[in-house]
Formats: sequence, structure tokens, C-alpha cells
Amino acid sequence: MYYPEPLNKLIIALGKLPGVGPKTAQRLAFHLLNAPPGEARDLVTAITEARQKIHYCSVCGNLTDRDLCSICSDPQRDSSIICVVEEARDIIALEKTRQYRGLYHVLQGAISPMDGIGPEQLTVKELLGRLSEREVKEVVLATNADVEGEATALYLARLIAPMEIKVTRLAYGIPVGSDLEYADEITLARAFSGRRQIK
Amino acid sequence: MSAIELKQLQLTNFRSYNQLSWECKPGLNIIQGPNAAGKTNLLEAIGYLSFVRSIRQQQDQKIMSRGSSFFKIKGLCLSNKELMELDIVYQNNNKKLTINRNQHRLIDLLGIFPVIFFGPDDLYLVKGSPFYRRQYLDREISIRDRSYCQCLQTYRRILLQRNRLLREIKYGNCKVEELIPWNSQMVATGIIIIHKRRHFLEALAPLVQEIYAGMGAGEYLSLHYKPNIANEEDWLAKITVVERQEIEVGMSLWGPHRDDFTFLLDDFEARFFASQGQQRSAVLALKIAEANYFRQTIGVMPVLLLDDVFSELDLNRQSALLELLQGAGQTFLTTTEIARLPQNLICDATLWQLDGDNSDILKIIN
Repeated sequence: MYYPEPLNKLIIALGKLPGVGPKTAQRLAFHLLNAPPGEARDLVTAITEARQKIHYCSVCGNLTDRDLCSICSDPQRDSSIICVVEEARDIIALEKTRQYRGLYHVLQGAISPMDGIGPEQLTVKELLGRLSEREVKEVVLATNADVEGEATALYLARLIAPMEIKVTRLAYGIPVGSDLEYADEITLARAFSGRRQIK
Repeated sequence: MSAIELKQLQLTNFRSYNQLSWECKPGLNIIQGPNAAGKTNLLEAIGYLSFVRSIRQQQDQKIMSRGSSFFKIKGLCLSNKELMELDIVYQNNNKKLTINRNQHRLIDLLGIFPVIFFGPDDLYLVKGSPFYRRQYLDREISIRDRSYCQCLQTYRRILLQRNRLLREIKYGNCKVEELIPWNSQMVATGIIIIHKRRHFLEALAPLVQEIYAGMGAGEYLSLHYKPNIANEEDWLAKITVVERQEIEVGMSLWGPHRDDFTFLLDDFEARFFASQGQQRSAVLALKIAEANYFRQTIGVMPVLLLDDVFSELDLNRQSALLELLQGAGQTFLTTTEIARLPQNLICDATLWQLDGDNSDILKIIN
């Protein structure tokens, strides 16, 4: 190899990160080598600390460094509504809207037989437990709009139906600020069938 | 009627062509050359600009010239008096499409440069397995209707997941009730596909009938859609009945992925009962009908690609094809010998000679 062994190891390790190819890995490695010693050390501590302290919230599955995440432990949040998402990062997307004041539930994925993921591999049991324990009035299914997300939503809707809780699904539609002519036909057709009366 | 016209074709590492730049002509282009000179390859390249895949159902890997790591097709088209540059590059199992030098998704090419291809292998549309006919339907409907193409992609994904689940249930790894969300999605997407296929074939059938009758064969040809799901309204209800059998074989047995359509000659299935000549006429009628349908519905004259078709037709059928060509826009026709073509075809055509030894050069010979 062209590099001394420790450098080579670093490049290989960085190259395993998503979105990082061999060239970027090399650039990052050289940056770390040339940076002041503190910078590399900070990065090491940040990674170790994050790995040690971050885990899933015991109630909703969101990422947290305590037992309950900041949303579950917030008394201001409306505990009668639960929004079900696939990944913890979906919560961040929804939180940025500042519209939703209810709680979340992270499934940790979506049903996908090809990847060996069925309801058992997701936090479905935990969700049903939450629904039977507490007074929940509405469950919002906010899984992705692909076939797997749709299958997951349909599966959950069927499970929750006998519990007499309102089940809703995020609306499909045209992205705000985009032109109609650029929307693909399926999105457009779904947006059309989900149209609403203007009051 | 607006027409579409290919002005220039540039090929790099495409089959027998290492480097080709060809200024083709409007109207009829007849390409003459010996066997294996690369005539069909030219048509295939033009077809590729329409479908972003081989019209001969070949894998992209096999289309590359031997020893090269990429191929490139560039076409300059005239559509509604506007010049359009289509560029397709294949490299590392990856296709890139640019239209007027802007990168686009492959699906964006659908319907932009419509082409109808007719070659000897199209006989399989009548006598081959249902696979060919489904492929035909999917391709033809997709270029008219992008949402059909998206439905098809969704349906295939659902099918993959559902088939996997059926196998897992068979081996006891999953529960039967896990099928429910896949069933309802399969039915919802499948019904759209069935409706669009039925609509397309119902529109095409009378045209095919008329054209076949015009060939003076005397029999009566009709097209019939044979959906695998006879009654889509109760598909979802019935699905639980057949589920057990599907789990047994680990495959989805019912749905539009098993559709077919048939050619009936006087109420007999042409696939089994028609002669080779009758089958050939049926395919020819289908192709001509398709061209006419295209003009009627989209208002665009597609480019016709005819691969060595005249040699196998008798005089009646030749004249049916000639009639189509008279009203046609740009047409590319290959033949081993110009002398074998009907004389009245040649007078207005541009004749191109393709040499077996040096296939990168096309010469005008008339």
C-alpha cells in the first residue's frame, strides 16, 4: 500500500461511513492528521460518548441520553395523540414543523419481508401496550409513502381498529412551493383523490 | 399531424459500431447490407433512444462493443420544429440520460421519441409465451402513460415482497395474517394495471381487425384480453381462498403479472391453430394498427423501424405495409438486397449501403 498501516486503517474506517467514497475518506484522514491534536481527540471523545450515552427512549424509541426522551418527559405535550414513524430521524423532520404537540412512537423500520423484517422485528408490541395502557384518542400513521411504509400503515391500522381509537394517515400531496407540472402522476392522482373543500 | 424525425445518430461502442456519426434523412431510409453488417444494430440504437433499453430484449452488458467499458448513443431529433438532443450513456451498470444537456430520470424519456419496431422476432407475439405479450403491453402502454409505468414498478415491488413473505410463511417463519397489507396493496395497484391494459386493447382491437380484413385473407381476426383476474371487484375477497395454494408454492399465482391476450382467427386461437403465414399477418396487422393508434391518440407520427420484414410477406401483405408507409413519417428499413423490395417503394427513398468490413461508414447509393 501507499500509506503507513495506521493511516491506511483510518482511511478504510472512514470509507465505511455512508456517503463517503475512497477519495473523501482519504481527504478526511489527511485533514485529521494535519489538524491540531485537540480536534482529533475531540472527535474521538464525541464518538465514544455518543455511542455510550445515546440509546432508545424506553417509551417511544426516540434517541435520548436519559431514560425518557425530551418529548416523552415534557408535560406540555398532548399525550392523547401518538404519531407513528419509521425512524428516529423522522421525528426531527416532524418536530421542525412545530405544528404537532403530541407524542411519538418509533417503529425502528418498516415491514419488508425481503429484508427479513416483519411486525415482530418492529416495536409494534410496545405501541399496542402504550395504546391499551393510556387514554389515547388518535394514532397518526406517518410511515413513508413507499410500498413498505404503506404495508406497515395498513397492518397497524388493522391491529388498532378494534381498540376504538381514531387512526389517521398523513395526507399525500403536492410538495408546497412546487409546480403542478413537475409532480409525478401518482402523487398528483393521490393528491387529487385526497382533495378537500375550501371553506 | 406533427411528426418526429431523427436528424443525426452518433454511436460509441454500441455493438458493431465503435464510432459512428450518421446524418439520416427524412422519409424512408433503406439500409442495405450483407448479413452481420450491423443493420439491425442501427435500428436497435434508434429504438434505444425511445425505450432506454434494447428492443431486442438484450441486456445492456451485451450491447457494449467487445472490450469496452461503456457505450453511448446520441440522437438529434426534430420534434415540432424544435431540435432536441437525447444522450444516453451506459457505464458500470448505470444508465445516464440527458435531454438537451440536462440530466433527467430515465422515465422522463417515455413518449418523447416514439418508435415502432417490427422485426422477425415479433412473430413471438402471436406464437410465443404470454411473457412476450405482457412485455409488449407494458412497453406500449408505458410510452403513452407514465403513471402506468409507475404502477408497474410499484406492483413489481409488492410482488417481490409478497412472494418472499409467502415463502417465509411456508417455512413457518411468518404468520398468514401478515399477508393482509400486501394483499390490499397488490389489488389496489393491480386493478389500475388491469383497467389500463383492457382500455388499450379495446382501443386497438377494432383497428387490428380492420387492417387484417384489408389484407384480403378472408378470415376474421380479433384481439382478446385475457386478464388473470376475471372479476377484479371480488379479487380482494377471493384472495384469501387462494392464499393457501400460494403459500404451498411460495409464489403469487393470481394477478396481472399472469395476464395474457390472444389473437383469435375465426374464433380459434391463432397461437395454436393459425399457419405461419396467418400468424405473420396477425403481427403485421397489430403493428400497423399500433402506428395508426399512435397517430389518433397522441397526434404524433412515430418513427417506424422495420427489420427485414418485406422478404417474408406475400404480395397482399406487402401492399398493406406499403399503404402504411405511404402515410408514415420517418421510416428506417433494413434489407439484404434492395432488389427484393417492391419497386415503387424505392423511388422516393434514400438508399444507404452498409459494408460488412467497415461498418462505421454508411454511404448513400442513389
